[in-house]
Amino acid sequence: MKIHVGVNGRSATVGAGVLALALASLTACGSDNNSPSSSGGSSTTSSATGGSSSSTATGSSPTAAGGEITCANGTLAGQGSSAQNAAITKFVKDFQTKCGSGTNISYNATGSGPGVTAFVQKQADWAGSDYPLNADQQKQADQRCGGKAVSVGTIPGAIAVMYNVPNVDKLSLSASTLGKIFNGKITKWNDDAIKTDNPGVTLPDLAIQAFHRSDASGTSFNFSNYLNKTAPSDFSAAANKQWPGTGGQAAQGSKGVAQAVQSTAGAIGYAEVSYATQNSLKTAAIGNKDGKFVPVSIANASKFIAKAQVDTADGNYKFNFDYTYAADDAYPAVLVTYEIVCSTGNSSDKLPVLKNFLQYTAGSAAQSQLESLGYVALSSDQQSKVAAIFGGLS
Amino acid sequence: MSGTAPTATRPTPRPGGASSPALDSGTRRGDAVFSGTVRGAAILLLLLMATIAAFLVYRASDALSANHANVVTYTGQWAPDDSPPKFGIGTLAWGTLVTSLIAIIIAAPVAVGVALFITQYAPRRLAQVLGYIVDLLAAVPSIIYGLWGILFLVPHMQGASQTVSDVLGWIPLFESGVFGRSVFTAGVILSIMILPIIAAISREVFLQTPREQVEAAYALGSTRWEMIKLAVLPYGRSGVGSAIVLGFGRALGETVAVAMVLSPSYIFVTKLLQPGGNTIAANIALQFGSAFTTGQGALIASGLVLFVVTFAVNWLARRITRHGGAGGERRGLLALLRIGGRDESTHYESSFDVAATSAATGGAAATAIVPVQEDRGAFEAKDSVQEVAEDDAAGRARSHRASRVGAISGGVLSAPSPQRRLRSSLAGGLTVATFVLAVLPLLSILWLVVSRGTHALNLDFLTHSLRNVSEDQVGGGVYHAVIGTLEQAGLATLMAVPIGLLVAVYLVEYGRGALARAVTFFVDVMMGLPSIVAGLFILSMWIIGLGQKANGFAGALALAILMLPIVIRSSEEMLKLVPDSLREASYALGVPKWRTITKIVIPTSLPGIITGVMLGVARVMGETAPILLVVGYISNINPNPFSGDEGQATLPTVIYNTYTSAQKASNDRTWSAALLLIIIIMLLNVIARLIAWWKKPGRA
Repeated sequence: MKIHVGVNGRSATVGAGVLALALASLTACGSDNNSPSSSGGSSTTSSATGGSSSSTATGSSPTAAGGEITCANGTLAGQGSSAQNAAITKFVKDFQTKCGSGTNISYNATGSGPGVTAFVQKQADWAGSDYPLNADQQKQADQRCGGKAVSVGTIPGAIAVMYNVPNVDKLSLSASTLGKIFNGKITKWNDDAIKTDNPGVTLPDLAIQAFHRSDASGTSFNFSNYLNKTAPSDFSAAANKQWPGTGGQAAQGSKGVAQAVQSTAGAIGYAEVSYATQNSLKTAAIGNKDGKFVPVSIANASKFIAKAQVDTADGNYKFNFDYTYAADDAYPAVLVTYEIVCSTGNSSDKLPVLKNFLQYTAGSAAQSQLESLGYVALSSDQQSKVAAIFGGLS
Repeated sequence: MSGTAPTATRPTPRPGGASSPALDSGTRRGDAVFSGTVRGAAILLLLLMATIAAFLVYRASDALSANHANVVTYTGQWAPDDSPPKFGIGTLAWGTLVTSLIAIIIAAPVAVGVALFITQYAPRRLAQVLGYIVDLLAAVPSIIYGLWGILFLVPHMQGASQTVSDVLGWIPLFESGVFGRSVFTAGVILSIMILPIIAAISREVFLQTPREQVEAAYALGSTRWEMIKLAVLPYGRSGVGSAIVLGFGRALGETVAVAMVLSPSYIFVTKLLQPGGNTIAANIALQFGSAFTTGQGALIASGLVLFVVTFAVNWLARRITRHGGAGGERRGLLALLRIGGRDESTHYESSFDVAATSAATGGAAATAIVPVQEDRGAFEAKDSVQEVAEDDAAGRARSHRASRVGAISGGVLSAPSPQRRLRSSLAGGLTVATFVLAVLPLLSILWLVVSRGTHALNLDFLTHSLRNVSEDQVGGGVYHAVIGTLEQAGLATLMAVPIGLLVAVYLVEYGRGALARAVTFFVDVMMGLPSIVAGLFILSMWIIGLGQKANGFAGALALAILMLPIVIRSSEEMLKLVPDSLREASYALGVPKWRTITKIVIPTSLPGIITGVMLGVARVMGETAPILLVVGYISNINPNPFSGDEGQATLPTVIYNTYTSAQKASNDRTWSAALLLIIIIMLLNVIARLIAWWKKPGRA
């Protein structure tokens, strides 16, 4: 009996010891420092040049408010819009690289809907969302802040219509054709409506597989808004973060849509243009209110966004797009990602890093990188106004 | 330790309070405290279950009463947080049933074929290895199946569903399929996932076919196939039936793999090859993130529906076994134990295999194991296991001999006609074919994970985090996720094992009457708890309700809920296997009951308990769905699971968060993380088996 007890007791102790040792040794040897290794260096330098070139470009003009990174230690958790993911990830990287290991900012691109929910439920310190808080959400968010929550449009972008049709390298789609495609009314690529939009292009007899977002998405909201405002007869559903069209297939997140389009012959889908670039997907020129086709480009999108009305009531910075604007070089499917944050009521240990990071995103050093990342930059006037809002957080 | 040797305690028998079945050793304070503790643990478990149930029902009923749509027939968007709130669960439940049915229709015949091949046709040595392979495959986490599904299967499914619709397109069910994502694809993934479980249980059932019946069949001049039809299949019918139902139950609750390959929509799916449809579990994974109060309630309501259906299915599985011939269930367990004896491994291990594999939705362990209670007194562990082993080996040999004799005597008396022999070899060939069919996707998964996972798997990968690593950048690693995985699983173990062990002790040593029955019942219920529902509970009660943080500890809580029933079940079985003669000997020396339990019973069964715990740990380590809900995902190292600032990454959530990337560098990391996860889980499984083997009774 004694032997039994001894042997088993010992083996258990040994086992526990081994486990403890393994854990202890594990916690000792990890590293968060990824910059010096491998090709990480190249992107760090590019960010540095990006920053410096912007400051030389603007010369000695007043960039003190919006230019360089002011470091602060702390931990931030952001969540939301996958449309702004590429931009915000880059900004986080800049910020963390400059400020070192005392600063940890995570941005989780779960989608605008989850971002707003996480913010209201205090699981995120700020949210990225491609639509501002609505009245109902504003109430909940104010309550969460114990003060005031604001929606600040910071990163504008263009929604690209990505497609995967073999041997078709140039495609134009009017808003009404898009409405029919995304409502399941057109099911073949050689449909007459598409042929009419694309004289001279040989279209295959291939089934259309239209992909939309399965999660609550600001990209869905803005793209359905464009379709509904531009071609109400073929896309009657009002803008909604849950894709309001009928039929088609769903994929999760912008990445999921891009991945689905890339791997599916006959696919068409929408996402912020940075996803099209990253995935080397073909994009269609889309029709504006007058039926003119405008190819997606940062320049074209910025012309459309420039016509938007800015609403600064209640400390917000909201963009209202004018879908009737129909210049030949104004790309009409656009979005603006809002950073949703407590303007008052932030906890004192988060405030410095939150404030400094968001100010950086609105400053010229960050905004001047946006074009190369696949986004539209705010005008310098807008930059300073937005930076001022972030600077006033408390 | 030696100071508390049993003999050191002087017996002071006192009248009254007979708590020991063997000997009235009196109620001492130690006994009172100990029995109070284990009873307390049992009551704690009941309270926990009651809290979960009450909370879920309360939240669900709130949402249901706020719902402005018919919850059964509504087919519009999932919009419980709009005003007015609208959502329907009918379409989800329907989609869940459809995908699981497709899975079972594909998996059941293949799995039975595999089991037949392993038990009846494969050479004995090979059979053992093949059995282990099938068991290990049951341990592959669902995130890996999902990863394989979306990156490999979905692109290939386009052609496959085109073929199916070309052949069967005249049936409306199979109309026009050119789509990669459909309920059919989800069903195929599910079928691959549940196949190892059905095959493993069927294998155990077939192995217990009484030798006499096998020999009798051969003596009648049967070919092997005829013997299978005469002896093996009829005997195993009920066991296989319950295995299939259990597989169905597991398919119902599967979350991540389905969520990754489905193209969700809220309709009553009738066209299997076309996109659309959704399952309850996948919908929870998809919608929880954006859910506000009513939204969470709606998801909880759907989770409850899933929970009730799963529980009903598991209950059905048990009933099938119970009605399948006298003592079928009991023999099921005995056979499970014998396998260990027959092979080089121990009897402990085999029963654990089932306990572990079935843990997903529970059931099998319960199915196979419950009735041993009656056997306790009669079961003479050590010696009998060895005897059984010898007996069994002899039995096997005898059956082989018998088959040869059968063939010879058949030659003399009535040779099987060429037709019968042909049929027999055809049937044999068919089982080989099913085995190949079953192993192909599994090989494909392992091949993909290994071949693509080795690119980025190096020392840097193990020692660096993903902080500041952009998708197109080579380098970085998953150190932070390994830490998170180990810490969360470790914390869960620390919580689940003591409570689980105490409850098991209560059930085996003290459990009588209503409390014991209630505990047993609720352990069964917990076995059937889909993991996503456990996550939903922690999210809505712990994090949102009590305002706690979405940190590693919240993840550990969810994992502990999932681990608890596994620990209780497996420990219970191990404790039951301790022969009563040991207890009685201890009592006879005047050792009080609590000392008998802590010094004799638990140490004797410790290796088995450790094995069970490790298999449980391996299982929860691969969990994705609940962790997604309750732990914030970050890319830097956070060694503190109690952090108020940030969450933790785990290997499954790293895979989930990076799998859609188009960049090769990021993709390589995803596959390497998958490979690492598989390696860790397999290592745990192997270590668990080694402990069982090393400590098997009678080995020394």
